[in-house]
Amino acid sequence: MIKQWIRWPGLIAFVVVFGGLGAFGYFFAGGLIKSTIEKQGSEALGAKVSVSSVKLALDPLGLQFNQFEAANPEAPMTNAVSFDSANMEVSFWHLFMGQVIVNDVSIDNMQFNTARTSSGAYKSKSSKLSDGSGKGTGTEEKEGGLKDSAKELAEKALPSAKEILDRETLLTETVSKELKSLYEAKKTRLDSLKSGLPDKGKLSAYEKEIKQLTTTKLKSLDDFNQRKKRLKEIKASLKNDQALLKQAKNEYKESYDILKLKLEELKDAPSNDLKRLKQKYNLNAGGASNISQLLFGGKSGEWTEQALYWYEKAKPYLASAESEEKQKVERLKGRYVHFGGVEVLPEFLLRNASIDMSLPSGHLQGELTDLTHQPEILKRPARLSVKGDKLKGYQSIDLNAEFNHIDPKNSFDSADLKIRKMEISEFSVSKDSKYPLSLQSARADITGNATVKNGRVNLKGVSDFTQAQFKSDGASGTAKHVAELLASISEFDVRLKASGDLKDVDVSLDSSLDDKLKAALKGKLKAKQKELERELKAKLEKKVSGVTGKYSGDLAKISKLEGDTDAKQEQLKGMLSSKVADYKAQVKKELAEKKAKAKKELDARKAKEKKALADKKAAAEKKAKAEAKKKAEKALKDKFGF
Amino acid sequence: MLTALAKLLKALNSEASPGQISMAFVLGMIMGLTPMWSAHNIIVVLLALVLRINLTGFLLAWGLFSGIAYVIDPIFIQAGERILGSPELASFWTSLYQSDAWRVTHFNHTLTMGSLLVSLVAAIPFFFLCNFLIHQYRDKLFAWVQKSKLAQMLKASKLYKIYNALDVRGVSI
Repeated sequence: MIKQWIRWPGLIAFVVVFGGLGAFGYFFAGGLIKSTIEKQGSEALGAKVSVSSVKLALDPLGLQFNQFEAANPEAPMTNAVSFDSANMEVSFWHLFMGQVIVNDVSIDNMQFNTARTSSGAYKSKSSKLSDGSGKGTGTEEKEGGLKDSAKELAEKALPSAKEILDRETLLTETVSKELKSLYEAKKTRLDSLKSGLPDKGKLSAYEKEIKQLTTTKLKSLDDFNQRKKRLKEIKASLKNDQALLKQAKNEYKESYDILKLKLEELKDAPSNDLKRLKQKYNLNAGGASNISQLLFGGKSGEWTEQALYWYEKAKPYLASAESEEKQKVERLKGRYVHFGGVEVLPEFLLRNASIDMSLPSGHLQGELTDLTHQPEILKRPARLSVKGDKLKGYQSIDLNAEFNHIDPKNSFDSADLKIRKMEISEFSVSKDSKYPLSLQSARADITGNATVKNGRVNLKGVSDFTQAQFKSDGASGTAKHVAELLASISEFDVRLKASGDLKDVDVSLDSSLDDKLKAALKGKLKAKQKELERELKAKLEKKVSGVTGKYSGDLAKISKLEGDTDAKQEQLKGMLSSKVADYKAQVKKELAEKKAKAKKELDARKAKEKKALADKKAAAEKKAKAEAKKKAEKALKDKFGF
Repeated sequence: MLTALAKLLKALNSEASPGQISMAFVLGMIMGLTPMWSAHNIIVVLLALVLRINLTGFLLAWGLFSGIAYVIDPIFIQAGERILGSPELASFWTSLYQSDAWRVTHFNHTLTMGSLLVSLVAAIPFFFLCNFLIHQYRDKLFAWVQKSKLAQMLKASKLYKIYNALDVRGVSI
């Protein structure tokens, strides 16, 4: 009976299958995890993430990571973070519950910004980064940027008209360039249009031919038909020209309007530029003496930017994704019912991580707790603390941060930082030859607090500087005056404020230095402001004076071209109305003319004959009268004997 | 698929015990109706391998009931909610919940609990129903089917060729 129901080879198959799966997991899990971390990590970070080996341990269940490196996406030859080893202890039973619960992680020798031997650039599907080859390290780039920033700020506080005009993107220049390129584009178009239009010679030729066709005498019906055909051809050509002229007129008008508008804009540009520059370079006592911005603006802006960059990178791992992805058609999921007595855990949880950070100034101890992407289930915020005592150049560093996403609609992150007695030396503000300035030495106590709520950041920081020594060699003019004033100041504070959207944070600084310098520089800067304004105005107006004259002339030419097209269109209109006379009518007319002529000739001949007859009659009468007279005289002579 | 269907028909038509075939259907039903990645399914697989049941029937039933589960999951979830939410059983569940081993079974998951309970309750009637149907099929339907025009047509089909090519020994596995 048992034999009928039991299949012992099936048991062997079961053991082989599940044993095989276990063995596969044991031997290959490390490799699979390694490749997953490297692939997914690189994709998420946008830079190479590598780990030399991952080992699986069974008792207690855990993983050991060795030589982890994550490159800085902004500086591929530098590691953003690296560590020698990390030992992770994972809860075995929770894996069968579909949860990854990491009870403890200890990370040894974590370092930041270490140099890499090979580029860490990673070309992901979503973003392509340069490999950084031939461009130097990212650190160098950052330093360069800071120097430029400091230089810019230094120049911003104490500029000359030429420097401002060289440095600024001027509306005058921009509009001038736009007008130039617009004019060139239009000119090319209008020239090509003009070349296709009928010229005066062509129109005269047409006119002459039309006159000949329509006014000279028709010789025959054939002649009439040929002329008619030719006139039709000419009219077709004229209509084509008429369409071209119409199009040209429209384009001339449109070009004229656009260019005129741009020219007006250019004429207004210098005054607009001057207005803007006056606001930006407000050389009143308050604006120019914002020396705190000059001294620390570049660094603080850079640090704030970096902090927010890494915060943005870490943010997706602190809470569940806000929008749920569209899922494939799958079975309904149901839910887990929790009965109390046991802590409800999310799908992933890092309970505790101890981090030993190795910095140039010494070791820092970090602790990260309750990191999960489902804090709404854990109902505890993730916390990070970093502490360090007796460090080189610092008395102590104390950072405490809380990432509270328990309520997704009301989540917030906050961080408090305290740095005691930070020693500053050789802090270069500007290496520019005109404004060399450095903070030779100082000691600073820094406290800061930052919160991020609903995507908006709010940061406040205060640095109290003591034993400060400024140095500025080779400065001249106002810069020298500023340097002398700074040299007399040994204590001051700097207050940093940053607020706004995470992607567009507005950073501002003010300092007790400002008040001290404001009073001292007031008179000097007022005079400079007026002088600068005059200079700027003159230079800006000079920039446009030649240009506007030239383009005004060009606009007049375009306007003339438009007028020419009108005249030509009128001319064409007249030509298009011309016709070849009707041949029948002409023949009829000719006949009538001939008839009239014949009649006229006949009348003339008749008149002539009549006249000749009359003349003849008169002559005969005259002759008869003369003969009668002669006879009478002879009779009288004969009678009276005279 | 055709081969699997032919194997099932062969088993139905063979001298294999109806109980073995019915048991295969029952285990396939449990596996199909409950969420696959559950601890109890390890036991179901172990039983399917160790018990001399018809594996083809098991696989076909698993596939068929997985499809059915998509439709009746809301009922399972509702059943799970009722059972796990029952005030009378609260202390019992709470005591089980304190144990890691029990939580591994996902007993506190509404879909797992509902579907497993429904399948277990349905298992015994379903076993006897299958047995009855197999007997009926062999006694009456098979002879009638053999004579039918449809069977004549099927005998000319590919399925029948596969059916004929099967080794009788393959049927019991």
